[in-house]
Amino acid sequence: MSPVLGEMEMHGAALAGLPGMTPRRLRLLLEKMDPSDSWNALAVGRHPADPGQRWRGYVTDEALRRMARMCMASGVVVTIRGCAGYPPALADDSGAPEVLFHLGDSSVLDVGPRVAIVGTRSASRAGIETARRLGADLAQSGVVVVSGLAAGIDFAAHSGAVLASSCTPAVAVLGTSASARLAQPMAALRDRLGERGMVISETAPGSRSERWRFAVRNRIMAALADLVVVVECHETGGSLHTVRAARQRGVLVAAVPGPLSSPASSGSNALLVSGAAAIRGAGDVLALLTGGKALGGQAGIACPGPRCGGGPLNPRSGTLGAGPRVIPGSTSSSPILSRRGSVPSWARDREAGSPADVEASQVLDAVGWEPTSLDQVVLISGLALGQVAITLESLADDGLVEGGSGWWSRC
Amino acid sequence: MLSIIPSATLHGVDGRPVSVEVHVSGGFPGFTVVGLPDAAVRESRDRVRAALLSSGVSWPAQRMTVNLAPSGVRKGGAGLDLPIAVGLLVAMGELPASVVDGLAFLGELGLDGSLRRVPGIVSLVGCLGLSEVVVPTSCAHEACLVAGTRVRSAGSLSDLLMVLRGGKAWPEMPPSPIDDGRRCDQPDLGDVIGQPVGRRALEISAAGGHHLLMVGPPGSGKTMLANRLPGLLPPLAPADAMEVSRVHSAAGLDLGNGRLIDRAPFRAPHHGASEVSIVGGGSSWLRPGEISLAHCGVLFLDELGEFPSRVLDMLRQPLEEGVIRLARARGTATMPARFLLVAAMNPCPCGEGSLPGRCRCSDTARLRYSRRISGPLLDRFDLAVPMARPEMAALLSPGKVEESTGAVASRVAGARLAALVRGVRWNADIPAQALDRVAPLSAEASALLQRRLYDGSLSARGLHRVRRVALTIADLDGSGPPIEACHLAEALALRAAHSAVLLERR
Repeated sequence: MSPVLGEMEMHGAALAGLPGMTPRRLRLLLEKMDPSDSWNALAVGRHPADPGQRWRGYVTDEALRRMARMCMASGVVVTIRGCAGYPPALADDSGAPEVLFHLGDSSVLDVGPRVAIVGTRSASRAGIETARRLGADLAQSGVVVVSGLAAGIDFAAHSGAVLASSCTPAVAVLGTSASARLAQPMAALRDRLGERGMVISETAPGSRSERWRFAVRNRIMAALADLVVVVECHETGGSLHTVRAARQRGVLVAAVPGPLSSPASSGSNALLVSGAAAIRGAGDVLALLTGGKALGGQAGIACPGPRCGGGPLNPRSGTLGAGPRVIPGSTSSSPILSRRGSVPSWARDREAGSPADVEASQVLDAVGWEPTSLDQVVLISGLALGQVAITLESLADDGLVEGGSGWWSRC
Repeated sequence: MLSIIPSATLHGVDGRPVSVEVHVSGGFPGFTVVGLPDAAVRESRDRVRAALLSSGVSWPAQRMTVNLAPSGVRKGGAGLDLPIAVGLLVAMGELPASVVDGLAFLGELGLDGSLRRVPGIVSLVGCLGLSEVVVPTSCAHEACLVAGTRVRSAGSLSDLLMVLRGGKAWPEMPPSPIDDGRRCDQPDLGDVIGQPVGRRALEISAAGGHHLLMVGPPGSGKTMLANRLPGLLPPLAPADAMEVSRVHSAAGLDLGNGRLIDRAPFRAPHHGASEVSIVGGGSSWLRPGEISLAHCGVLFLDELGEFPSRVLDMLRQPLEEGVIRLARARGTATMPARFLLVAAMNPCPCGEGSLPGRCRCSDTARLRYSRRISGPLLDRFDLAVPMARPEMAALLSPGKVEESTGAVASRVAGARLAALVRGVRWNADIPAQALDRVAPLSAEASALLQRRLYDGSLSARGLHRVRRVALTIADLDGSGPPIEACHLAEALALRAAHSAVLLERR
């Protein structure tokens, strides 16, 4: 399926793909001329916005054909601001890109309210989980989730929204071109969004990936969103670009509170101090969107949890330590310890009062909700390293803790 | 007239006997040295002339030729000054040939005739067989380590002349230095607060000879722990002590008090180290590198990620074989290099990446950092321990007494004994095919192992390494084989950083 490119769109795409092109330069080029006229004026070196003729050598029929080929091959749709097909949600924005490239159906932008979920690439486990739940719950409530498809928070929010059972589509705004090669699992998610949502970029296919484009595309996210939610960001994180752009446009900014000890939450906590709305879950987001009170309990998100502020998104937390419960998957994974039924071994042992039970609860008490180093677990539990290691192993089988290289946290 | 004086030069860490043949005859006056001398030996002409004149011997206007036999091998170092001078004295007729019969000479000459120490005196004296050896006083004790009563010492050329002319007896050996208890000044493990995982890894590393990689943020105590590893290793066996002393002497290092090195050496080269400084080599003579100096001890590479990858990959073959074979156009040398490799690195360039949500490095920066260490080298670390900064409260709270080096060292000694009973130096040397026999697994342990193999977190190669480490842990616990699940779980927990570094790479 190749979209048919009109002449205007072809010229617009080729202009956006010129070397050294930036959104501002493109705006100057198209300020008083339409793309075709602008292209022809550049070709003869008579464009008033290009007195130095910097692009004259690049404006060739071959460049035009190459751009058309690339757009057709990747299925990227080109729209020009002010022309048919350009997303109305973006058209009136002061920083709207002159030429927009997108995959998927642009009508998804109007399915429901749009909420941008943004955050750091280097997120904590809790932040990732929060973003995923937020994405899923909002998608289920009919909200179009907008994010940047970066690693960390962006990816978690998108995958939550895409994997939610509802059909509300999600929108990704890329800093690279819409058809650029991405690492897995981003590429798979991008393809999925292209089919069931929308992937937007102002970068022409075939352009080099440049650092500044990632900061610049944040204004598109801010322009699209009715509300920007910062899940986790560092004090100087790139998400603050989005926040700045949103505030310039009068878009409401909200943030998820995080632990004071976590550097990944320092930026989002600072936003809260400076007046951003606090988000405890999808309910708070919906309340902000409707301008009403928190819709407590609507998205299964109302119980206070042990994690500072992030608790409501962790509904399982309320049940921990409250006796036996069925954990999905625990019956199949552990040939050593949990073959004997769906009751976690530590909980079963607790009833039996065996020594293994005491150790399991000691270790479980030592593991915090925030990632805890193995050293801390050993020190707090007071057990030998070997005992701690085997107990953590069995607790992980039961799905009570999870860990990576040298740290563990409850889940 | 001709004289022949036995001496020796250094080649790698081995001494090689050299005959210094001096011929003095009439003819056009001159002084030449032949027999592939290097720059230091060629310069000895000027030192010898000045030293002889300073010692009251007149310089003859005759033709003097010095040949260093065997003449096909390149000779280096200043240790041939003294034999050349003595050879000249005999050939000039200043000394009767009979008084130097059965004497070999080693030493560098100062312009005032004083005798200076030469590197590698242990190996040099060792290769000279049964003859008595005259060495500078300053390295007489080192020479005595190998030659005992065959050593004669002299402080200067004029002293030597007086003895040889029969005016005086050989001077007494300087008094043997007393044992000043060098063990005491080693840092103690009791100073390390917290870090139960790091301490345990150190203990296991010392007990089983398992190479240790510590991955953690700056200030997590990696270097502090590594410094305490030599104290955990048992004293060197006499044969090892001799070999270590030979290597250190050949590198020109002071043996300290002139006694055999009986404690495991600890070498910590900076990451700016060149390839040659690490593996050995060099232009004058093939000098032992840091890996040979760490023989029977610990080679600590701090900031492993900052070492050039070429240098790191050079460690791979010595790590397997325990020796380094240097091959150069002018000859080859084999030097011992059986060391315990301990390395420390940060998890990422900013150093904070061990806990999620802390690191501010870009993905490419992390990837580039993790790729600095090649897979084959990473594979050789049996223990790869993630380290974390200790909690502030633990650092400030007084009263908690941590286990001292002595207590841990006694457990280590017990485990080393268990390994010796199995016929290996330490558990890391147990061949893979013998593991099933010497380290059987309990049913629970083998179920755990199988699960790890199935879920892909353990490779087949990692399997053997984990089993060896688990065996060491069982030895340290005093329970011995069969290996229980908790031993295995501990061994697996102590390689957690391994998978983290590899994971980063995907």
